[in-house]
Amino acid sequence: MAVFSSSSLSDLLPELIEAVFHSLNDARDILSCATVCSSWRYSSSAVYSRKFVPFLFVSHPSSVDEEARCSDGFRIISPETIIFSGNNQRWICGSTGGYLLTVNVSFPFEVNLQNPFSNKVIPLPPLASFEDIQRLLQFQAISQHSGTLTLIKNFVKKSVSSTSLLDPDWVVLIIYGTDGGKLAFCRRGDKQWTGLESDHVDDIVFCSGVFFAMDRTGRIYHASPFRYDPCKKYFAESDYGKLWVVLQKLDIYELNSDTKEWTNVRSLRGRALFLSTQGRCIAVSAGETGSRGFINDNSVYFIDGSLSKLYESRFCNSMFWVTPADVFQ
Amino acid sequence: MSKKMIVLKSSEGVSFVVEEAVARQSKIISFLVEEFPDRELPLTNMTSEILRKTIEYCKKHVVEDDGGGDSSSSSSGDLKEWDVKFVAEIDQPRLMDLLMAANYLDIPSLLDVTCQKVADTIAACNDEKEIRATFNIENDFTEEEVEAIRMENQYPI
Repeated sequence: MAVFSSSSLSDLLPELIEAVFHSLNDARDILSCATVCSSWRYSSSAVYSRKFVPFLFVSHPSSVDEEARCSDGFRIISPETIIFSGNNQRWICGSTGGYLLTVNVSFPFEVNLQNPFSNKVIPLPPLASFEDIQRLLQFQAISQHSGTLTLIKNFVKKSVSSTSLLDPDWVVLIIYGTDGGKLAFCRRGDKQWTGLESDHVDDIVFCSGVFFAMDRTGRIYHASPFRYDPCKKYFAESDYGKLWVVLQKLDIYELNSDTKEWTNVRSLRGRALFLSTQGRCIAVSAGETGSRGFINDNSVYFIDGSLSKLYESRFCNSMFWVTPADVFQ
Repeated sequence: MSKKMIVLKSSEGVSFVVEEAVARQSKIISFLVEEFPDRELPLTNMTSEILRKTIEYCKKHVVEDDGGGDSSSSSSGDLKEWDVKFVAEIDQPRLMDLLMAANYLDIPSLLDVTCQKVADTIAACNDEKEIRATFNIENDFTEEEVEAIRMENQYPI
């Protein structure tokens, strides 16, 4: 190994650059870092989506209890704001259907879905059942290197569950991997994850009883091929069971599951979309109750750590960046 | 009772005699001490200067940790202040070396303070040009690419 002597920031290992970025507290700084050089761009995007994007939306349709009124119908919960009881330290690696996906920080890296309010816990197979993780652990045993833990912490990129977790036939699908996104699923009582042949998966969604996955090139699985130029893409689920795909510049397409055709969406019909710059997308009902006029019908909100601006678009009433602080008051 | 001492050797071959408790803040050294007791530990990728700094940090922290008890809350505040001063006095290339050393030796608290210091330096820059200049990073993007990333991140419609 080379001697550490008068090193430059560009000499740092990617995991150390990520550790540095993780210490940044303003989203604008991370976005500046993305334009510094190509290796920084990659690291900053990984950190951004972990640190600045809200993990969980909880909707309170009836504002009966005090808390619901205070939270104005919606709550955005970031990982930093959640503390679990118990001795076991856990990472929060995503959320689905109101549950947080947590991973224990030590072997065998047990995975649980946990409801932060009811404390209901649904156990999933541990990460140690993945071959990739076993290889990482072998490597760690030899090298005694702490970087392995960072890789395991970022192992699960996104999780999606079918219908409701109260339904005994639930399936949980995850995007995982230390580099490109691969897919694996589990059913209730499974002892390990089952891999699906896949690579470079950008996003997954469960809609109309089917899981859809979209890869980096814009190809969608479990649906007729739908090709677009590579750019950041999102899935969104409309509340009447239609699948939406959001492309850059706010082109939104809807899948007609009978004809397998995609049509351009001109109106969000009572829904508001929340987009983050790094690939999370959530569609919520834009209720007329509460929200302090904050969540408007037919609007697209960009979730960003600190910016707040208003933009007009051809089919959206209003649009602005929303900070977690705006919602989480 | 005399404390057990161990010897760490820098890349230049300079030996540093430190108390085992001090050195054990590094998980790697802890491991090596158990595997190879009574041996000089060669740290061939660390210069004497960086090794000296690392030991200075570990010494400070081992003393404070020993204090324990009721005084711990006030001393932990002092310790934070000391950490801030410690990294403030280091110039940037050496800060990078120290960060890498903290990672290599697996000293989480030192890694945290050095990362925070680098992050603060980034945050103090006005734009990406200043960041590149500050950290001497080569720009491998064209103007158009930078513009494209900016567009992607800000969604100007």
